[in-house]
Amino acid sequence: MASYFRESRNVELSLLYYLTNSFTSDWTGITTIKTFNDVYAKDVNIPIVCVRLSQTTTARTEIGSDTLDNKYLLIIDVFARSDAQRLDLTDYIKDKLKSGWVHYDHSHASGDNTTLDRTANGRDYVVDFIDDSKIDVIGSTDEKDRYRQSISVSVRKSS
Amino acid sequence: MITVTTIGTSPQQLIDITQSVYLKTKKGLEETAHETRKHMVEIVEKGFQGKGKRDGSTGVLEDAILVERLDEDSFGVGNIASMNVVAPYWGLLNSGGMVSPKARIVPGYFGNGSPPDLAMKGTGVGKERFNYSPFVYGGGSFIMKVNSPIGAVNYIEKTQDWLRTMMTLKFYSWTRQVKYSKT
Repeated sequence: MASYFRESRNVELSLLYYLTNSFTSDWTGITTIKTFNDVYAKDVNIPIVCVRLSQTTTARTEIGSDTLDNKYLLIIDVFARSDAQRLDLTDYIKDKLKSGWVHYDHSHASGDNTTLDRTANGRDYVVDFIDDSKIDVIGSTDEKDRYRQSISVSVRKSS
Repeated sequence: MITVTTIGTSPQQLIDITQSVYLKTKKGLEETAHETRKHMVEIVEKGFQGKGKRDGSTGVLEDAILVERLDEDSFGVGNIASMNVVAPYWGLLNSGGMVSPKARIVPGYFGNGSPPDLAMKGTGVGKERFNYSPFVYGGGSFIMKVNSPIGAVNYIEKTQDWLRTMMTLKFYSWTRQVKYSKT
């Protein structure tokens, strides 16, 4: 029996899938990752783009309604090889985000959590570009922390 | 009898409305600045709950997040210049990253001078506070090898997201016009 993911995971994975495919066709050697800790693994080399869901804000669509309006705060961390690449990647990502992307419902077969099945189900779109700033990690000389950028966006799924 | 009805808003009424909205907005902005600080501090606290609060936590970061009046009508929350001095790791905790230098060796001790507890190695759930102390032979410091990065709490972005929603709601309430009806 297949295991189906819920909306929050689908939002996170849909953006990761969208950016991964975009980098594959337009760039070379960009690693996309979902887990922040994995960025620092020895076998993962920069440039890296890490996509993660940081916060979900939930409200009722109207008083008395049992339909919930979820807004997702997605953080996209860029770990670049140079300052120029940091800026280029940032602009590229924002350009990709502005028009939204396909929302997929994800699932995997029982016992096989490495192969994901995707079914398109609407679109995700950026409600707000919250922040886009250079990250200076004071005290770190780790090469992955040298040229970092953080982009945060507020995202909704179209109904 | 002839009744004369005022239609629209007179110049004086417009001045009254503008003053009323201005005063409500000014007061509301100050309140919002303090609410924003409170919200940010709550996120900082929540951000580390999963790891457990270390014994002897001093709350330096929370205390360093202050509300500052920038001019007559604007406020700032968390002055970066002063936070760089008082709580220089504010950025690391927000954005995550590797804390140690390239060699990834950090000298120091736990609690009142204890070495790292091997049973806790790699779990990230130890409760004792780590005290940084430059290594001196016989000086009671121990060498720790850091394997994992500090996770990102993103308390700034979460607060920005919250603030955007709040400001939309608050501006609506501040700028609702006073209804004038005069005959």
